[in-house]
Amino acid sequence: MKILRIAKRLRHLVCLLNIGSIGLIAANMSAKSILDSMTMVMQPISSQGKMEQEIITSSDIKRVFTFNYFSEEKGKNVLIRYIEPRKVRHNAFLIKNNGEDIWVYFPRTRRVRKLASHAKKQKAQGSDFSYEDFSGSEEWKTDYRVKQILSSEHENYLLTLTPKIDSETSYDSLKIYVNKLNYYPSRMLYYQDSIHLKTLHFQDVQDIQGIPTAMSMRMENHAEDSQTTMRILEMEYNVVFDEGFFTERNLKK
Amino acid sequence: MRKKFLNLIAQWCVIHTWWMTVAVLLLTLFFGYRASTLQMRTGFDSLLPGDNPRTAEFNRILEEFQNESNIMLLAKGPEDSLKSYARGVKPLLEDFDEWVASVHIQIPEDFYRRNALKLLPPGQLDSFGSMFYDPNLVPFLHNLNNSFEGEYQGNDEALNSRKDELDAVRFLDGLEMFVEIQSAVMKGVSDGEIGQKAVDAITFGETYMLSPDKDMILILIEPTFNMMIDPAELQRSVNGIEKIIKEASVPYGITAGLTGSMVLGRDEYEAFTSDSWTVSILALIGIFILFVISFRMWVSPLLAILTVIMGVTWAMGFSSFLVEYLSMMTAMMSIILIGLGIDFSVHIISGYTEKRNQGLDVQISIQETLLRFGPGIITGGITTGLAFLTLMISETVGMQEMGLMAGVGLIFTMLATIIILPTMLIIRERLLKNFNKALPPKDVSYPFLGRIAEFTAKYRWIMGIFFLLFTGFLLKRAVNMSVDYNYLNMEPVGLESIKLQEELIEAFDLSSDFVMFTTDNLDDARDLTRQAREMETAGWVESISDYLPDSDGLEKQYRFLKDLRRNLENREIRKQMSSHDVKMYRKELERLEANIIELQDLAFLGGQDKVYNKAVKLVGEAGDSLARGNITQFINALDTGLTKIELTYFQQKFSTSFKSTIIDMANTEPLTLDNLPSDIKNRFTGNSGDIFIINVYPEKNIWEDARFLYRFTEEATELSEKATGLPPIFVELMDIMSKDGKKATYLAIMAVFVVLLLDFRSLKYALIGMVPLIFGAIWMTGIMEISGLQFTMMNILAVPLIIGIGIDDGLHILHRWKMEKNLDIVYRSTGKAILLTSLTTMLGFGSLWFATYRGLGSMGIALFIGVGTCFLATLFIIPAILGMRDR
Repeated sequence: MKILRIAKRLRHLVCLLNIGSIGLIAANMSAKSILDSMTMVMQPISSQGKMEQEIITSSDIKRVFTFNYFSEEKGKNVLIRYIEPRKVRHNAFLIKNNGEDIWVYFPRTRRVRKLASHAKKQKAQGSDFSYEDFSGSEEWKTDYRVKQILSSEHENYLLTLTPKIDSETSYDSLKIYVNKLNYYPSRMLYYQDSIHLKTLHFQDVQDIQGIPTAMSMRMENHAEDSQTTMRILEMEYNVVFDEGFFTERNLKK
Repeated sequence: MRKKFLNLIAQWCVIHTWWMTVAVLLLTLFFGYRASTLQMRTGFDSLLPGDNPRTAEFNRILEEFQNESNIMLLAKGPEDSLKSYARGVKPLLEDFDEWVASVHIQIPEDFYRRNALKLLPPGQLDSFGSMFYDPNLVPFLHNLNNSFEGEYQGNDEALNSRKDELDAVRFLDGLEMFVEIQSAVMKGVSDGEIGQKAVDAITFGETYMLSPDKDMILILIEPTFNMMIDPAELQRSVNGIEKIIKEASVPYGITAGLTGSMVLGRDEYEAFTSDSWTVSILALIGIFILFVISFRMWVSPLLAILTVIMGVTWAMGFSSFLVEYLSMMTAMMSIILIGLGIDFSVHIISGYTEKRNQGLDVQISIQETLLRFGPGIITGGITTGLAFLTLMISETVGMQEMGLMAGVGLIFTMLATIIILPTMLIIRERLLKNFNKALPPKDVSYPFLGRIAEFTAKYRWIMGIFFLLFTGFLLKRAVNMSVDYNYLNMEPVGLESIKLQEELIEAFDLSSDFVMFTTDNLDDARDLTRQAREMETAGWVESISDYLPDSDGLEKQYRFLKDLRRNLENREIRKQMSSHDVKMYRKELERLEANIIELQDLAFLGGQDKVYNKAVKLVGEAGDSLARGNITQFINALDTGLTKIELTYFQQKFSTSFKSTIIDMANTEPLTLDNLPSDIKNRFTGNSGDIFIINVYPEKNIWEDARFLYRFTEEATELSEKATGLPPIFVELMDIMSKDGKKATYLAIMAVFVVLLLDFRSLKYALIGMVPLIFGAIWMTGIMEISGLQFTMMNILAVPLIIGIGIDDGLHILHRWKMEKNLDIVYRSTGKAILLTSLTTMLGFGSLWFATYRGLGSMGIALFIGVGTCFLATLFIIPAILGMRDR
C-alpha cells in the first residue's frame, strides 16, 4: 500500500514537472510559433459535423438552425448545409478561399447565387459571426503581424495581431488568449476602428480524436449588444472528401 | 427660546382662543388662495437644470420646429377603410386650425413624381437606373429582375440594416400591388387609370403610411401648440383632437387612437391631477379610521385631520412663493406632507389625551403636552425638514424643488400644527363645556410595547446577534438591488398612448422617443446624417439631406437623367404582344417569383421577419401544399386565363404611363432648399430658416433594454454634444439623480447627526439616535429587493427621504428616555405615539400605491416599507442599546 502511495506521489510529481517544463518551454516560445501551434490545433486538415446556431430575429424571436458543416484545407473551404428548420432545409452555403468566394444554394428555386466578394466581412445569416469568422485562421499568419504581450491570466498566453501593410483585413487588430496547455484559444477579441467590436468565447473544450474542440462558441457583439451561440452536436476530423465536394455543382446535391 | 414659544402658544390658545381661531382662518384662506395658483408641468425635461445643454437644446427645438412634437394617430382596421378614414379625417382635423396646423396622411407624392430619381444615391444609379430604360412590359420585367438580383442576390449587404429591411418590405409591397393590378386586368377589369396605378405601385409603392400587414395606418398631426404650453391647455387641446379622431373612426368601422410625447404628457397630467385628489382622500380616510380605532374617539381624529389639511394648505401656499409649478416629483407633495404632518397631531393628541386622563385640567394639560412633546415635535420637524432640504444640493431641478418644498413644507406644517391643533382642542373643550372639568384617570398607554422593549433589553445579546445576522442577510440582498430604466413602467397601467407607442415600434419601427441633432448648415447636416446612419444602434435616420442630393454626385446623376430621358423618348411602345412575348412575360414572372423566394430564404436565415412575412404574401412558404402567394397564383392562372388581348391591353396602358412618368421624373431641374415642398422643408428646417434637424430613431425599443438605451445615447452624444431628445435627457437625468441621491443621502445623514448632537448635546445620544435609521434603511432596501421591487427614477428619492423621516421615532424615544429612564414607561407611552405616527405615515405613503401613475406607487411602497422598518428598528434595537447602558 505504501508503494502505491509512493507511486501516486511520484506520478503527481512527474505531472507537475511536465507541466512546469511545458510552461518553461512555452515562456520561451515566440509569438509566431504560439500562433502556428494554435492554428494547427484549431484548424484540423478537414472536418465534418453537425452544428446548431441560435439567432434573435428582428421581431425578437429566438430561432435555432441546425446544419451540417464540412471543411477542408484547414478551413480554407467550408460547406454548410441546413437541416432545420424545415423552411430552409437543404439551403447551402459554400465559402471558399477563406471567405473570398461565397455561393448560396436555394433548393426552392434550384438556383445557385454568388454573393459579392465583400460579403465575407458581413454578418453571416443574421448571426454575429461574419463569413470570414467561419473560414480558417490561416490568413492570420499571412495578413497580420503577431506579438506576444504579458498576460494577466496565468493559464493563457496573450497574442496581439495587427494587420501588415497592404493587407486587406476585416479587423484593425485582434487579441487572442491561448491556453498554455493545449494551445487552444480561450477567447478572441476583435477590434475595429479602435473599438472592441466582438469577443468570441470558446467553451466546453473536449478532446475529439486527439484534437481539442470547443463544443460551444459564443460570439458577443459589443457594438450591437447581441450574441450568437454555435454548438457542435457532432464532429469528426481528418475526413476524406470526394473531389468536387467543395464545388458549386455539389451545392445542389 | 423653544420653551418660551411653546408656553406662549399654550397660553394664547387658552386665553385668546377666538382671536387665534380668526387668525388661523385668515392665514388658511390666504395660503389656500396661493396654493390654488400652483400649476402642474409634466415631462422629464422639466426636471433637469434649466441651463443643462440637452434641456436647452430640447427647448430650442420645440420652439424652432413646431412638428417635433407631432401627435401620432394610429388606426387599425381593413386597408381600404383605413385609407378612406385617413382621407376623411384630414379635412375634419384641419378645420380646427386653433389646434391643428396640418395633417400628413401620405408621402408627398407630387414631389416624388418629379424628383424620385434625383434622390437615388449615386451608388444605386447603376443597379436601379437600368430598370427604367425600357418602358415595354416584358423588357421592364427583365430589367426589374436584373436590378433585383443585383440588389439582393449579388449583395448580401442589402438586408443588413433595419432601414434596408424596411426598404425591402416597401419594395415587395409595391410588387404585390403591381401583381394585383395585373391579376385584375387578366380577370377583365379595365380602367383608364390602371396603367398609372401599376407604374405608381412599382415606382413609389404604397403612398399611405401603412404597416407591413396593412392593418394599421399612421397619420401625423402637426399641432399648433407644443409641450411648452400650459398643461391644462394641453389637456384640452389633445382631448379635443382625440374626440374628433375617435368620432370620425366610427362610420369606417375602425379603431383610432393617439400617441406621442404630447399625448403622454396629457395622460400624465390627468393621472397626477386625479391621483392627488383620490390618493389624498384615501390617505385621510385611512388615517381617520386608524385614529378612531386607537384613540377610541371621533372628534379628536377629525380635529387632527382638519389640522393637517390646514397645515398642508399653509405649506403648499407658502411653496407657491418658492416654485413656479409642480413637477412630476412634487405633484404628490400634499400626500407626503399629510403622511408626515399628521404625526405632529398624533403626538399632541396622544399627549393631551394622556394628560387629561391623568386628571389634569385643560390649561395644564395643553401646557404639559406642548412642553413635554413640543421639543420632540420641533426637533423632529426640523430634522426631517433639514434632511429634505439637503436635496437642494442636487443638480436636477426636480430634486431641488422636491427638497425645498418638502423641507420648508414640513416645517410649516409642524408650526401650523403646534398653533392650530391646541387651539382646536381648546375650542372643543369649550364647546363641550369640559373646560374646567377633570376627567377620571385612565391608562391609555400600550403596555405591550413596554413589555417588548423590556424583553429586548433583557435578552439583548441574543436579540443583538439575531438582528445583526438578519441585517447582514438583508444588506446582502440590498446590494443586489437593481434599477428599472423603463420609464414606461412608471406610467399608469393600460394607457392607450403607451399601448399604441409599443404597437408603433412593433409595426413601423418608429418610436416617438428618438434623438435629435441640429446643425446650422446643410453640409454639416449631410455629414451628421451619414455618421448617424453608421451608428450601430440607429434604426432609421431622417434628415433634410435625404431630399437634397449631394453636389458631389450631381454631375453623374444629371448625365444619367439626360441619358435616361433621351433613351426613353426614343423607345417605342409596342402595340401588340406576340406569342413569344407572352412566353417571355411568363418566364420573367417566374424569375421574379424565384428572386422573391430567394430573398425570402435569405431573410429567414438572417432573421428579418418583416421581409419574410411580406414575401409570404407573394410567394407563400416552403412546404405549402397549395400555392398561396399572389404571384404564384397569378402565374398558375396565366396557363388557363391568359389571352394575348388582355396582356396587350395592359402592356399599352402600363408602358404609356411608365414612359411619361419616368420622362417627367428624369428632369434636370435642380433640387434646392427653396423649391422643396413646404411640408418637407418645414419638417426639417427651423422657423429661423438656418437650423436643420436630423432625427435618429433607435434600432429597437430603448425602454426594454437599459444597456441598449445607454449605448444608443452614448453613440449619439459622441456624434454631437448637442444631441437631445427623450433618451439622452432620461439617461442624463438618471445619472444625475443617482449621483444626487448619493450626495443627498450622505448630507442628510450628516445634517441629521448634527441636529441630534445640538439637540441632545451628547455624542452618545446622537449616535444611538442614528442606529435605528441605519438599520431601518438597510432593512428597507433588503425587503424591497426580496419583494422584487427595483429602484426607479421616483422611488430612489425614498432613500434620502427615509433618513429624514426615520430619525423621528428614535428621537422621540430618546427625548422621553432622558426624562423617564424607564423603558416600560417610555415605550408604552411614547412608543404608542411613534407606533401611531408610523402607521399614519405608512397609510399616507401606502395610499400612493393606489395612484394610477405607477412611479408614485413605487415611491409610496418604498416609503411604506421604510417607515415600517425604521419603527421596528426603534422598537428592537434601541432598547437593547439603552438596556446595555442602563447596566
